Amino acid sequence: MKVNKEACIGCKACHPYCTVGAISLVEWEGKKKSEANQTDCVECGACIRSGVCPKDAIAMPELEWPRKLRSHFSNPYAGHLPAKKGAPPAAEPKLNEWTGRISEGMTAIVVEVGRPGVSASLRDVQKICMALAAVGVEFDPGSGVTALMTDPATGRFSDDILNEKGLSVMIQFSIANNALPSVLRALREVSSRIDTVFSIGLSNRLDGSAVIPTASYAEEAGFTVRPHAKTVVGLGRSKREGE
Amino acid sequence: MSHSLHRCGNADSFHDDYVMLIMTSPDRANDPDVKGKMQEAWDVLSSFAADLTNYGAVKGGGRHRKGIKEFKEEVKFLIHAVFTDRDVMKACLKEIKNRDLGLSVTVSGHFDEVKGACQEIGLVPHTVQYSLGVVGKTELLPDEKVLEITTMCGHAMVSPNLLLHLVKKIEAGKLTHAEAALELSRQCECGIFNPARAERLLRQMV
Repeated sequence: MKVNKEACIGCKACHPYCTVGAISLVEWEGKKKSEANQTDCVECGACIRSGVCPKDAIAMPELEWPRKLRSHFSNPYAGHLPAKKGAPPAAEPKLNEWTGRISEGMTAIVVEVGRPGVSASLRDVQKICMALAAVGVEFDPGSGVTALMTDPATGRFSDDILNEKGLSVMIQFSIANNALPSVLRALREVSSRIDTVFSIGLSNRLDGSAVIPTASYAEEAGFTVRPHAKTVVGLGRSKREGE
Repeated sequence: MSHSLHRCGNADSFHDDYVMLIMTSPDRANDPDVKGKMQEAWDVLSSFAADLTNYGAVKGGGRHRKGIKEFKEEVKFLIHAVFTDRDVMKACLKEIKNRDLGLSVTVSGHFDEVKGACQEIGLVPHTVQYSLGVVGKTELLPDEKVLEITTMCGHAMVSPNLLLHLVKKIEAGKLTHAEAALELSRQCECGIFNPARAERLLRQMV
């Protein structure tokens, strides 16, 4: 985001709307003007969409590589980062009635780095990916973050993108349920070596009893299962079944 | 992004928060038959309109921006609707089931309550996504009470600074709790923010 200082009247109306607190007043030609710190700004667009600027002084410039990664990870209107061509759809629970990619005995995991609202650098995302790769995680080929890796076997990205950041960078993968303890240990360990936070989501296929099959693994690893969850209620029908 | 997954709060905090997501396979959004089914789903929701605190579609804004009729005409591949009452959510779910639309429905909320509602109307839950919370440098996070409200926008478009700014306005008598909740909800682009719950939580703060 860029603030047009000639138009800005320094009213600060936009400041609280910035999702990462990147807008502040600076001195400009003897007057106070707002400015978005370009290191912290994640290009989410919230300041513009808020519509609070009385002078329409905020604009999103055309973003170039690699900075445009910020909007993919932060701006709801930018769309997800594309996966590699031909990759199967990511193992998303809401699509599972159609894709069947989360099968019994498997856990799909999404590690959302920077969420909630802290933001994260790709340098920290790489640390997490490397820790996961070291315990044998194979990243979901349907994920845009996997497509960014120079080598998915190691979880590395190219150096030119490591300083980019986003509000939520999603690392996606699936593992056998019995591999969950080692993966959760790796996540716990790497969480002490990063300058941000991450949220962990686990997905499982349910049987008729609707008991979450991996909750006990998570609790044994020292994690607390939150009471709130997303339940795919069993109404979806694939085209094949429906016709 | 798992938009409604990581909402903060203890078990009691979700009694007025059920987010329904109705969708078709994204690659079938323009299939004439599927378009009709999605429009029928909006018809079902419109019969519960008085009990919806928010609704919308991804990148379509929430009810602050458009009415059900406009969303219905747009026919996106995904619908969001936010209920404050478990039994109303269950009744809506039952109506969708009875119409046999073939659309996939996901309900976010207290897992035991959602599971119970499904079982009461003869549904067998297919898949669950649950949260293990947040780890890492958690000292960077705002207060839990703030997170309870801001995490209702999964894209994190509701900034903690905005919430605190609005709290100050409520304290100064310049804004009501309901107006502040609506302003927070306006930042959510998918219609999943729950302004009724936000208003309740704001009243606990100030």
